[in-house]
Amino acid sequence: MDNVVADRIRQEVKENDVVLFMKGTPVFPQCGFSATATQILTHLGVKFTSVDVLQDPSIRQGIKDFSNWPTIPQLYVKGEFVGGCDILREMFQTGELQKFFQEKGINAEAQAS
Amino acid sequence: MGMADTIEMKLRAGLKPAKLTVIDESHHHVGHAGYREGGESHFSVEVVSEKFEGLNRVNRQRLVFDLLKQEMETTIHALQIKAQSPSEASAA
Repeated sequence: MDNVVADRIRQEVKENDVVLFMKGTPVFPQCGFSATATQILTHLGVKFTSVDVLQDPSIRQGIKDFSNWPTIPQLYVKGEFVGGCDILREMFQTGELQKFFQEKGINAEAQAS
Repeated sequence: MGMADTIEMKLRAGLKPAKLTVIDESHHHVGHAGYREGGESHFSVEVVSEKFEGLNRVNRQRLVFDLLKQEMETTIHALQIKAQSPSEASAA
């Protein structure tokens, strides 16, 4: 992978506590899986930065190489790769995601009933 | 051989699963980005394997992705994965 691309990604996940690499934007997601990831974060009231990989083919491929993860969306919290849509959904359903955010010192609502 | 069969064959060989279900969900994505004429683009996999024991979620999925590396780079647009160890599957 291009070092410039890797640096840009590294910078992004370093400067922002919660970063979602997704297709489209939170308001107009371009993929069902990105939409699900956005909904979960929004539902938890977590403030996040989103990166639309469709705007930049080098980031779209670069994030896959960077994370060693072949699909989008991808969530980073405090520089740590958390996972894609399935993992977020599983963690959300079991309440682990809420706990995870709290442990990381990120505001998230208690699990909705 | 269809893509679902290829996925099943590779995962059986690599994971020796106690349980494996591969579903082609491409028809749910007609007209949406990533859909191709003829389907074979969106899959859902449920797999129970001892190889997942002791691995976290990320590494379980990586194991599956790695076995399907070639397909992920070419044909498969989306792969939903539910990966459980035998003890988790029996507890559920």
